[in-house]
Amino acid sequence: MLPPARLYPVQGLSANITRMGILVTIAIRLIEGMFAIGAIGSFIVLILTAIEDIETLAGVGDSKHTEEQPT
Amino acid sequence: MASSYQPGAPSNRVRIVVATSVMLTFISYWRAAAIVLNDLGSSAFYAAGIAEQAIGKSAPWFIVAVMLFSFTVRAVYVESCSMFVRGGVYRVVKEALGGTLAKMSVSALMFDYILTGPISGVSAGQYIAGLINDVFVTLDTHGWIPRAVHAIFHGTPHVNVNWTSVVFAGAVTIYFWWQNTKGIQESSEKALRVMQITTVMVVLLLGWSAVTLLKQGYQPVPWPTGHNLQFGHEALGFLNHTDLAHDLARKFGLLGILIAFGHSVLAMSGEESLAQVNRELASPKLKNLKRAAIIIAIYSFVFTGLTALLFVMIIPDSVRVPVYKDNLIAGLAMYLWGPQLLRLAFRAFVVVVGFLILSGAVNTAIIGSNGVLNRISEDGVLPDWFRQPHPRFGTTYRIVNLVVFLQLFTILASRGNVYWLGEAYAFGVIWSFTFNSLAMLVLRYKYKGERGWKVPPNIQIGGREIPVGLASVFLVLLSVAIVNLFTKSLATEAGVGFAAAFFLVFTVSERANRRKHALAEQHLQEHFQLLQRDTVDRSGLGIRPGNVLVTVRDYNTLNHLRWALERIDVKEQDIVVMSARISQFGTAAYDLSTEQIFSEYEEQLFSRAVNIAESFGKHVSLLVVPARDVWSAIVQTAINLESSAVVSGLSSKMTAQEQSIELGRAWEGAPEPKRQFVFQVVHPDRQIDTFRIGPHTPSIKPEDVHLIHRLWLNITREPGLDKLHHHDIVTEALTRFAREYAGRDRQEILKELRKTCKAAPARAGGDGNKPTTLAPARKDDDVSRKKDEGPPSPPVCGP
Repeated sequence: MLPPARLYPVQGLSANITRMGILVTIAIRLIEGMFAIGAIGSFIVLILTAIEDIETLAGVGDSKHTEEQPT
Repeated sequence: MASSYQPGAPSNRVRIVVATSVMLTFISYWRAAAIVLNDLGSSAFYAAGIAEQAIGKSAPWFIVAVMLFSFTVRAVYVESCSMFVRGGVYRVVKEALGGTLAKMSVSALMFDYILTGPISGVSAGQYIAGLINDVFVTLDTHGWIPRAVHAIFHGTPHVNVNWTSVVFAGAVTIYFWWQNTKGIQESSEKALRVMQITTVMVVLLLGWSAVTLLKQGYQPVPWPTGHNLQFGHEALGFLNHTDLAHDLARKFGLLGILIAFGHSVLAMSGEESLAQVNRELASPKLKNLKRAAIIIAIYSFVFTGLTALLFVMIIPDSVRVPVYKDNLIAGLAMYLWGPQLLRLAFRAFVVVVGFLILSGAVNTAIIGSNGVLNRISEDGVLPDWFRQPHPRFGTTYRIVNLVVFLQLFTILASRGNVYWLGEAYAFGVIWSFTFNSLAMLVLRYKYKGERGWKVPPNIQIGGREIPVGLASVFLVLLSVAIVNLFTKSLATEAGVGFAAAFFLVFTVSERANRRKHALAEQHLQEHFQLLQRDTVDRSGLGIRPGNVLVTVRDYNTLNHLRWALERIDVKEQDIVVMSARISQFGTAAYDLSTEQIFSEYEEQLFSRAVNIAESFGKHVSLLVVPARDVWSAIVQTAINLESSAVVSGLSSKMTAQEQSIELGRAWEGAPEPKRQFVFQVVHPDRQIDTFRIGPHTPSIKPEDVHLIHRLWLNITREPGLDKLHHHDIVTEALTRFAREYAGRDRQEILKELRKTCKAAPARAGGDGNKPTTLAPARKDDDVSRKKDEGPPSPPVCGP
């Protein structure tokens, strides 16, 4: 006769592995999300700084929207 | 701005003026860009090879992506540089993130710096050893290798590439160890020359590659999709033992891209150097910083990004990784279109450029590590023992020793494996960037001081600014850093181990130093009153014009101060004792705070100086100036204080004449308005060498005076010339001389002058025909040298 199911070590380990798998998946999706959002934002940074760079090289002057007067 | 460090302090304490603005010889944005590119450009020599080994043939697209992303990282550093903060990287990050994260950040930065040297040295060695082997193969193909040599090597002669690289990297590191122990100054001129040569190579490489593509066609570079990623065995690190390793692309498409991006991040290593040169940029600082940053970004994108694509497009798959993985630019040179000998010659040029730029990076690594450890030692995070100056050279040699020891250990441990070094280096690079961007993000809310520029875009929501751009860059860096922890097992083990060791040392040292520093600070406050000044001027010190500036460095060699005190009547002339706090290129991103500039060592130095002055019953003013170049600092201080004389001891590294030449050069580089002064070098045996710095009336030999007089007698006999003066003859003669020198007689004049030089008695100046503001340095001329005997006489004063 088998002992009660809750005492099966294999089942416990399997459950832990499943839980761990879910956690790992969530963690990976979170990191992927961070990277995706960051990459989109970085692309915007790239475009905006490139415009500023062209202005700087052309001698138009510093950007108006990012410049801050010394306090 | 001028503020007292300790307002309301008791008046019986010795007042010391601490200048907080560094006395620098400012550099143009081109030079600043050259310095950074020496570090950043060096990664082009190894980053693509490492990336392809890790992620396969589509690696170049990721290198290009990383180079584009580096534009945004550069923006974070520009914002960081535009903040007016003092205290060094540890203090700034500590203010933002707290002590623990600051120590972790500095540990990562140290790991980055320590690894920069070994990877650059070993990579340079790989290029050299690869060239040696290919030269042997070419010679053998032509039958120019004797049979006896064949017998020795059991075939074509060759060297073991990895161990040759180890030996080379070790030799370069030891060479720069000695240079840094001696304290040889780095110049932006050298960096600019290296970048000019590198640019020639890059233009040739790209142009020749374009011709090759037209003539031979190209191999396509697989698009950076999940299915094209072929992770190497080591590229998945700890994930190798999980289900993820089997079908990463299918399960997590973006994760595969993220891992690949993480393996290519090395391509933007060196970006942090931008912060190191910011302080030295000429005005307008922010505009020049931006210009330098643009040049750096475009140059590195073209060099590192485009060459990475060309490697795959031109070098055949059969040899690219198996043969040329660690010297891909050399491999590209060998597969260009054209005759073999020409390709081999170009490859030799590539190796020379690689040697220059990579060796420079070894030096930058030592200087950078030394700078960071110095700053954190000043903050009490490392024992003061490390900062004890070298008895002869005055450098922080113990820190240099520690850094070089760690670098040599790393070189040996790597056994010349560039991939291993690159993986480890990436750990330092990514975490260093991550901590910096995090600190900047937090400082957006904590720091309310001056900030010249912000990473765009910034959105206002409910009156609160949301730094969207900065947060985005941080998110990418953090996600890559986290993924790298799992995919670069060796880097994680080495990096975490190293950083943990440093973190432990920092924590223990900080605790041990806390009590000691509290006592030292109490002692400092009891005896000295530090007066902070942005710039050095007479009013700040309360002195009169025509004062004497005495430079001090080592508290064991203050004889020249005694000599000056013996001779100067302080009722007539003030004495200023000055110590320059030197920091080299790349030693600190931020200006120092007052208490960092006036450290325990300066306290000891000035205590001795004050004791000596008190023993003569005379008052001296004390001054500390932070500087990058000691000569420029002395000249600038002497000009600002309207000093009539500068008195120094004899250097342990150079002769009095060499000292005067250095000072003369610094005077030439000083901005207008400037005034002349006298420079006196006191030898240990109390002999004095005196030099006049700046243009002045030369001493004229009696026979020349007679010649002028005879000419004057003859000429004034001519009609209409009876009112001519002696000086008119000299003016006419000099004008004619200048005209002839500028014309075709130049070489003849130089020949005559060389003859005069050889015939003249031993010259003290010894500078040949190089321009100098110093007097012609003959002993009987402007440079006077005398044994200090007889009754005391004041130092020569006034030009």
